[in-house]
Amino acid sequence: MDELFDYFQGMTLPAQVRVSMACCLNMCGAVHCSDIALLGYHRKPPIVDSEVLEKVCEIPLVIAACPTAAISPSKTDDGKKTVKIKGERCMFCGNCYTMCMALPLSDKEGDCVTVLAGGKISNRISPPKFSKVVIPALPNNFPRFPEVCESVKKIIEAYAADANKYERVGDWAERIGWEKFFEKCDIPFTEHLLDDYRLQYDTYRTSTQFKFTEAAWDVSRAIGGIE
Amino acid sequence: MFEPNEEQQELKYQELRIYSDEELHNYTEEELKNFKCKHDIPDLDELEKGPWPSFVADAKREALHRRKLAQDRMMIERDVVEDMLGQVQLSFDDGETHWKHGGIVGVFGYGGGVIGRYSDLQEKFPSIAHFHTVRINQPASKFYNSDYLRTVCDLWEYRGSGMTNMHGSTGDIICLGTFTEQLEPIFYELTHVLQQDLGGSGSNLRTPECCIGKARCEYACIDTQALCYELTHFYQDELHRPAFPYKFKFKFDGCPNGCVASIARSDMSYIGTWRDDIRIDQEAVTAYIGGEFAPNAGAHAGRDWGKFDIEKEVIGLCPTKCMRMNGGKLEINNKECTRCMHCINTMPRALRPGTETGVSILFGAKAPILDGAQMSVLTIPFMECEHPFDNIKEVVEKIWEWWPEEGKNRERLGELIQRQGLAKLLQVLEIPPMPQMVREPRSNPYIFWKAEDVPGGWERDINDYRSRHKR
Repeated sequence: MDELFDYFQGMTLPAQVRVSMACCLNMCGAVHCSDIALLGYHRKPPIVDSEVLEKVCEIPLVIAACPTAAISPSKTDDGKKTVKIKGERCMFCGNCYTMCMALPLSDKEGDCVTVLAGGKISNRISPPKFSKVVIPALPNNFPRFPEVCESVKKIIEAYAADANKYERVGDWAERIGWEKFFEKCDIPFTEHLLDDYRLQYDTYRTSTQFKFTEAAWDVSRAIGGIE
Repeated sequence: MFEPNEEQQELKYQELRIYSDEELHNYTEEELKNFKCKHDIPDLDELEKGPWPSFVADAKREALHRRKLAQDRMMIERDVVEDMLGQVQLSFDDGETHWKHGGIVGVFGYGGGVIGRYSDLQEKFPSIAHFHTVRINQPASKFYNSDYLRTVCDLWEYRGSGMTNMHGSTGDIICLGTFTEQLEPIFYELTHVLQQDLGGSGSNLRTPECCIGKARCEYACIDTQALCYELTHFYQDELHRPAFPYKFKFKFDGCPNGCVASIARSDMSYIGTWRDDIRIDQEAVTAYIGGEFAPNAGAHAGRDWGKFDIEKEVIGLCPTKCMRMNGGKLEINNKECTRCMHCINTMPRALRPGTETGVSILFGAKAPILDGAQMSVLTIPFMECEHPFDNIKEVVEKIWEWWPEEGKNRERLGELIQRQGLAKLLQVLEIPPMPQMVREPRSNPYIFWKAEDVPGGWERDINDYRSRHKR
């Protein structure tokens, strides 16, 4: 808020910009429908505290809590009931930890900030929409999170310079095309931004309507389509 | 005219106060400048720099205030705020939180309203060994007088940390940090003396929340406060005694602008709307065109966007293109209008919602846990919305007969709709389907036909079939 202070004081933006933050994906508040959303996210699977797990957790509930079926029953060498976790299946949602305190996830290097953009609540002009992930992970650099601040400023400045009056961030991105959003905001489009969860196909573009940006030329070059 | 459901006593701070003026103003700005937290907190000190008011500055004021109060004037340790700051600094250093995993605490007779919180470094930070959160059910639209606020703050200084959140994401007043022994006395004081209830937590109805409504907003189509107040009182059992598969949220928006975000975060979203025509004041339209009134109440005043152009800024942006200027008058084809609010927001002095108002009801929103975020589905297009809201309560109860019965442990209503299908919800509500419920019709033909849908049912005889078709 220190970094964006001038925007709070002036009325220079094309429309309101709601910046919201949630420290985990339980997302208290309507973070998932904000113009810019900052979300705390884990990137390492839970550590299994087998010493106490069978005493403090209901193992069937823990297994059922996992949306990707990454958790299965197991036994320790000394015969204690516990669980094992398939790391490659974990989507780091933390739902198992909600059910069981013996599966902590937090980690200094693993935990990160995910940046989402383009959501809104209001029905004004266009229907409400979800925020979309535009930066998969930025470091948790206490206390001032310089990488996060810089990225948010880049998005807001590109939006302020280019959007039409009354146009929200998401409406702007849809009008110019998300490829132009990444270009104008100077944000790299990485493989982590390709949806790989359920219904992922719905987010893929099945049309030849697109705009050429440097990211498109990179693909053409990589496949040998151009010099 | 608003009538409270029960007799309401007037709270007078002068009678209820715990601290004297001297105790409340017990330090000088000079002392504050020289204040040093008992723990070294360099990263938090850093957060005090910069123009935005910092929570650290507030916490330090509170820490100093408690240092100077007499020990017998506080029921938990005086340095609770300093230990909290110390633990936050350590969390910054470690990049990991030092709050333990949950913990079940509560008050007698209630299943929610208190959230257990414990430090995982109790030797190092003994004064926040317990740091429970108490949720207080905020009044509709969060209007208070200062007698009330000062009384709550005195109580929380005396029996808690003195630190609050105004407000939590669900709307409650959040009192941060107290010990288990203090919970019953706090509960007694709040309910018996202040006539003030706890909010919801856990698998029950969460504290209902509404926008500012007709009290302060010209867009409000319904009395969101009356509806919020009535349903909060009517569903006390559901608020305090967890009997549901998971949380259930009501939120009430007065118009499609959606200021409490009901469509994104409540299982049952109420959004005010109208079914007649937008009211037009043609003189005011002319005044907007002539530049007499600033569009959107001056929201774009910080930059030169040029002269207001009604064709471009209002008529051209209308999502249904149902407006036009004709002989200097604005015309709206209301039958084509989807009530998006843009023209009304832009020219509020010229345009107002209609007068036949009511509520649209949508179901099923939730945050991303677990299968991804969902927004509410438009299910009931329009419903009259007048006290005592019996028609709305009937809808609520139909949902609450279905979801607690069929919902799995920790399954939100929206997930149940997803699992059993929207058609099941319509059966529960005893309403027919309408095209407004979908963005577009399905593109796959994989319809789960039932035997009773098909002439002759599913019972067939293979011999009969073979009499016509050789193997």
